[in-house]
Formats: sequence, C-alpha cells, structure tokens
Amino acid sequence: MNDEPVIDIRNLTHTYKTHNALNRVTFTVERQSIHGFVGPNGAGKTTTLKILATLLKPVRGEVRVFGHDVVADYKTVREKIGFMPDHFSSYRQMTVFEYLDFFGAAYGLSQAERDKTIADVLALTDMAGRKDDFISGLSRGMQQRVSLARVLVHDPDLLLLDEPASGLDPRARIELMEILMELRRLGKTIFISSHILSELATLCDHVTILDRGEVKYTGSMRGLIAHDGDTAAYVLTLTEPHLPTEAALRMIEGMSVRREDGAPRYVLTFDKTKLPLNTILRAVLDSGGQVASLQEDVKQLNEAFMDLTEPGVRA
Amino acid sequence: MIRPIFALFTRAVREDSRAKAPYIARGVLAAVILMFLFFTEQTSKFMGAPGMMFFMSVVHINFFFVTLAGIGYFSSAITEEKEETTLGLLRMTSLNPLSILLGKSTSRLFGAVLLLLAQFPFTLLAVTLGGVSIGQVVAVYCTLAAYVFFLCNLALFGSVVCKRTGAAASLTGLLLFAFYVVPSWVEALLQLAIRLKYVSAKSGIARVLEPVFGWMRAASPYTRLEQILRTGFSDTPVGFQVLADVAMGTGFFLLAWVCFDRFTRNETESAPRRGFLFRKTSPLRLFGPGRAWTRALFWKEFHFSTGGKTGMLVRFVGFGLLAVYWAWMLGIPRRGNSRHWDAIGYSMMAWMYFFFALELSLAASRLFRQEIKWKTLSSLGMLPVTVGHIAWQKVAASLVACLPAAFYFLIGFALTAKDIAHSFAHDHDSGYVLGVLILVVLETVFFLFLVLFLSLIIKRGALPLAVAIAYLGNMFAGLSSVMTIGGNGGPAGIMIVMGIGLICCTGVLLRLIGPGLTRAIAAD
Repeated sequence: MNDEPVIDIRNLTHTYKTHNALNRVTFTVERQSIHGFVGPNGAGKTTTLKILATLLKPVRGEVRVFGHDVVADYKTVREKIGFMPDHFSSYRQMTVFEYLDFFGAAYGLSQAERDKTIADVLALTDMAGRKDDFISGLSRGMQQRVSLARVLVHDPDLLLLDEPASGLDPRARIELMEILMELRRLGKTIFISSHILSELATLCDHVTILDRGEVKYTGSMRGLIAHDGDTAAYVLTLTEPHLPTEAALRMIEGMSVRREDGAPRYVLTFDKTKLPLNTILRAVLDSGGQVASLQEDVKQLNEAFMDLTEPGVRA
Repeated sequence: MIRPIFALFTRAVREDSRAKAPYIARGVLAAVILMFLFFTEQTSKFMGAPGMMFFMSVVHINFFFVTLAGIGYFSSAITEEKEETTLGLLRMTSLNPLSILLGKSTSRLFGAVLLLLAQFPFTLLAVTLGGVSIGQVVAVYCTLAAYVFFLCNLALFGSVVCKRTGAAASLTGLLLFAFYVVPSWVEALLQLAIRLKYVSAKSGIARVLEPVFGWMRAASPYTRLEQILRTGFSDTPVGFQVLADVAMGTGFFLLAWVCFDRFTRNETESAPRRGFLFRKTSPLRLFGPGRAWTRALFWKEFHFSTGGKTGMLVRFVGFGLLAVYWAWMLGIPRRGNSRHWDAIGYSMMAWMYFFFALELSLAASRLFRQEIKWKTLSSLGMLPVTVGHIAWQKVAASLVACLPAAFYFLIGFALTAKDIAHSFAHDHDSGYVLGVLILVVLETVFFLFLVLFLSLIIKRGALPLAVAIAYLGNMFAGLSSVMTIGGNGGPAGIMIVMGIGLICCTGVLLRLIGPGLTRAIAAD
C-alpha cells in the first residue's frame, strides 16, 4: 500500500492584499483517514480548503494532493478530489437525477457508468426515492445529501468537506456523520472542516487545529485529547446515585474521580497503560452499581481547542 | 410619524452620499458632455446650429440610457430584497410597506434625478453655441425628469409583483413596449380597417380610440422631446407629457403599494427558473432535457439557460409569426409592386440580426453571471477543464439557440439575394456598404466580448453599460472621423481596422484576465 500522504502541505502561505490568511502552514493527511480541520472563524480553514480544491493559487509554499501539485497539475487533482463548499450551491432548477447526471457527464463518465454511479450514490445518501424531485423543493438536509452525492459522483479518492453539517438539524447531522463513516469504510479519505467539535471527536482519527493562519496542532485525535499522552478520561453514568459504587471508584489507585453536580455522572481520569478499563468496570459492578453508560470524555476536544486557540476575533 | 416612513430613504441617501461610485458616474457623465462640447466646437465649421446638434446628441443619449439602464436599475428595488430573502426582516421591523417602497425606490429615483441635474449646467452651454434656447433646455430636463419618475414607479410595480429582478425588468420592458409601440400598432390596424372599410371612421370604436391614441402620443416623452427639439419651440416647459408621466408614475406607485402585501407576504427562497422543461416523469418529457450529453456544459446551457427544445420551438413559431406580420404589413401597401419581396426580405434580415445580437448579448451577460448569482461557479470551477473550455461550451449552446433567428435571416437573404447581387454589380457605393456591414458584424463581436467582460466585474447592469460604452464609442468614432476628414464620413476600411483592433484588444484582455478573474470569483 502506498504510504505517501494524500494531502501534503508544506510552508503554505497565503495573503489577501495585506491580510495574512495563512502563515507557513504545514501538515499532512494520511490515506483512508477522516481528518478534522478545526479553528475559529477567520483562522484560514476555508482558504486552505480552496487551495486544496485548486480554486485558489497559494502565494507561497507547496501543496500536493496524491503527489500532484495543486497549481501545476490541477486537472489531475480535480479528478481525484470532490469538494463540498460551505455554502449550498446547486442548480436548484434541476431534478436530483439531472443534477447528478450533469456532473457525471461533465467528469467524462459514459451513460452506463453514470447510471451505475448515480444509483450507488443515491443509495448511499438515501435519496433514491427523491431522484425525480426538484432540488429547490428539498429540505436543507436533503439538499446537503444531494451536494454530497454530487461530490461522490465521479468516485473521488479524497473528499474535501467545508462545514458539511452547518445548518442541519440533529438527525440530519447524525445521518451525515454515518454516511461519512461508511465512505471511510469504502476507502475514501475525508478532510472535513467543522465547528461541531463533539461530532469531530467521535468521527475523526486525525485533527489539525488552525488559529490565525497558523497550525496549533496536527496529529491523531487521541494524541490531542489524551492528557500527557497516556492519560485517558472517561465519563461513567449510573442509572441512579449509588454511594457504594462511588466509594469503590475512589478506592481505585491511580485514578481521579470527579462527580458532576446533581447527577450520577463521574469523570474518571487515569493512566490507561497502568489501569485497564475492565478493572474500573469490575469495581462498579461488584459494588452493585447499575451502569447506564461509559464513554470517553469527548469534551476534551473542546478544552484542547480552547487551550490551543486564542480568544477574540482575528483582526 | 414622518421619521419611520423616510427611515430607509434617509439611510439610502446617506449611503449614496458616502459612496464613491455615484460621484464617479456623475463625473464621467459631465466629462462625456464636455467631450461632446469639444467635438461640437471642433466640427462647427462643417455644420450649422452646433448648439442644437450637441444638445440633440445629449438628449438622445439621455433618453436612450434612462430607458435602458432605468429598466434594470429601478426593477431591482424590491426584488433584490426578495432574492436575498431579507424582505421579511424589513417587514418585521416597524417599517410599513409605504416606508419600504419609498426607501427602496425613491432613493434610486433621487440618484437618477441627480445624474440629470449634474449635466444641466453643462448643457446650458449649448445655448452659447447657438441653435437652442434656454426654454428648450429646461423643457427637455422637465420631460426627462417626469419620464424618470414614471419609469421608476413602473419598475417599482414590476419589482413588487415579480419574484426576481429579471422577471421584474422583463415586465417593466413589456409595459414600456406596450406604452410606446402597441398604441401605434393598434392605430395602424384601425386605420387599415377603416381604409379596407371593415370599420367606419365614424363608428363608436374609432371615435373612442382616436383621442386615446392622441393622449398616449402626447404622453410619450419621445414625442415630446421631438417637439421640443424643433426650431421655434415656445411651449411651456411643463406640458401635458410631464403631467401625464407624473400622474402615471403616481398611479403605478399607488398600485405597487396596494399590491405590496399580497405579493410579498410569502417569502420563498428563490431558485433559477426552469421554464417549460418537463421532467422525465411528465407526459411531455419529449420537451424535457433528457439525459446529459457528453458535452455536459453544452447540454446544461442549452436546456437550462436558453430554454432547450421548447425555447427553440417558441422562437421558431414567434419569429415566424413576426415574419408573417412584416410580410403582411409591408406587402399590403406594395401589393402589385415587384419590389415588395425585397422590402420584406430586408426587413426580416434587419430584425433577425437584431434578435440574433440581442439573444447573444443576453447570453453573454449571463454566461457566468448566473453561475455567480446562484453560487454554482465553484462547482463548475472544480471540473477538470479550463475556464476557456467552460466558456466555449456555453457560447456554443447560446449560438445553437440563435438558429431560429439565423434561419429567418437566411430566408430574408434568399428573398433579397437577387437585389443584393444587382446592387453589387451596378452600384458604385456597394464596397462602402459592404464595409459598413462588416463593421456592424465586428462591432457585434466586440460588443459581446465587452458584455462578457463586464458581467464578470460588475454585479448588475453589464448589458446597459456595454450598450452605453458601445454607443458612446460609436459616437466618438463618428465625430472623430468627421473632424479628421471633414464631414464626408470615414472610409469603411479605417473603421473596419478600428473594429478589428477593438475586438483584438478586448479578446486579449478577456484571455489574459478572464480565466483568473473567473477562478477568483469561483473561489470567493
């Protein structure tokens, strides 16, 4: 398998007149990963995505997608990527099928290839039943699905998604995330910019945090949310308050326990190399506690984000 | 009480006073008038009454541009809020329909009237040059101001009733066409019916319609301007036309006010128009777009911008009916005359060339503008093709849509071929005529380039601005040739070289900055 990164950005600098949007940005995106791209408003996320999508020429630096330079070899890059911008843009006077058929033909697919691909992407996005509907008559969530279907119609290996979940209701967001996970299973690499950190934390295996045009963190999600590398944090929720269980948890050596106010919820912080999760669970069950849930504390991405980025709006 | 009503108006005027563009526009207008003055002064040795010549040019330009630019500029007053889905926000404030209408339209009216006022002192110089009186100058500006008022409110009505600016501009244009042209058509038909004894001259319908036509003629600013520009004009500056235009303008404003709630109650997200393109589930799917062709952009443009097969059919039938109408109108008076087929043929050629150029101009103005407006350029920009490839496929589709006009043009040509061949064989000026025809074609190509270029750099009004540039360019070229070669008109050869030069310059400009500009817009 080719270990070459799908996206390779080195010392990328971009300016709009006097405004420095990106300053020596360097990071890579691994093959078949879901790579989150987060940062406050004005951090330079959309500029980076537009450069990757070959819509914008970088002022300085090197940007390669599948080893191809985005400026010199833009046609090859465009064949390999699918870009979904942060605004919904489609030919709203077309039906869903006409829209996908148009883009399939524009990417040079034969009619037979289009028939197959369109059927696949409609099934994946669960839009097969609405293929003859006008796009203008679809809800926001469905339009976003159509947009995603359009991105997939030429079967790109890399998807660049700029705020794909913005403006969607919770159900549509969850469904979108499920589609993205399915796409990763199908071997796609997904580079996704989003403000919804909790969803990124569960979805992404890698993340890059950008602030004021500079990379503040790039690497695995685990590396970001873990304390001091090996420290893990989990949230244990019991069905009802149970004092013996709380006492049992506090007795476990090497683990700090913090109970959240008014609820039988405990934030457990421990060294995962020394303390297996089974030990904690066993202690809870032995003490007679009824476990409602035990999950990794994804709120830590929020905390990491707040720690790494500066407050206030960029001047 | 008054404050909320004028809140939007005050804000718009304040913004206008801070913006640079209106000052630049007024400055450019003044510069153009001064340039005309200079040319007039220079050419005064070749012609009499230079003041009148200068003033007539200014008046015609004003009338032409007030009509052309006014339709687009005033029609977007309310529709721009509808398109941006911000009208609901305005309605949620304490602003009532009257204040919204006043704020959105009166500020534009104010700007247009200021443009007229800015040129007034310069045009007074025409009096010094001779051939025109102060009374005529004042009367012309009263006429134009009343016309602007009428047009502004007519377009405001269109803007209230329609969902999109394009539709509002079309409705305004249609109503204006009805105002200027339809009465004369109906009058001509009535006269014909009287002559053929279908209707008696003393019948009720004739007696009712005759004064109506008279009033409509008198209310027309064009008729009024013709009267004012005649030597010896001594009428009052505020004539019937001024009063009629103000009354009609007020009427359309009131109509817009009455209709406002009904047509703006439900705010819907606007989408591009599909026209009569049927879905594949429709029994009329034969007139639908069908499957995308290998040249996908060509397919999209042909069906979704030019109307596809239905659009072609409508054009074939519409132009055919027009051809029959001209044949009838031109044929009847010349019945028995062997040259009446020539007249029909020349008329068809001229009109079809006009429709051909109009259709291509509209296509050029929306080539990328529609993609920008509906934010679809970024999706197109991601296709693995160059911007030039996208542009050419779109142009090709627009050319195909012009086939009906080309078809009837060729019929016209076939009708006149014998006469044209005869003219070239025996007429000494035929070379000059051919040169002028080539120049017209070259100018059309230049104009299309210009429209396309302007549509990339300005948000709206690319077409009127291109018309303005082409019109002024022609006028200056004509005046320059008069100045240099003493009033005999320039040799067609020089003009053709100038035409080719212009096309090359615009083409090179488009080639150099067009793709980058389009990409930048797509990325924006």
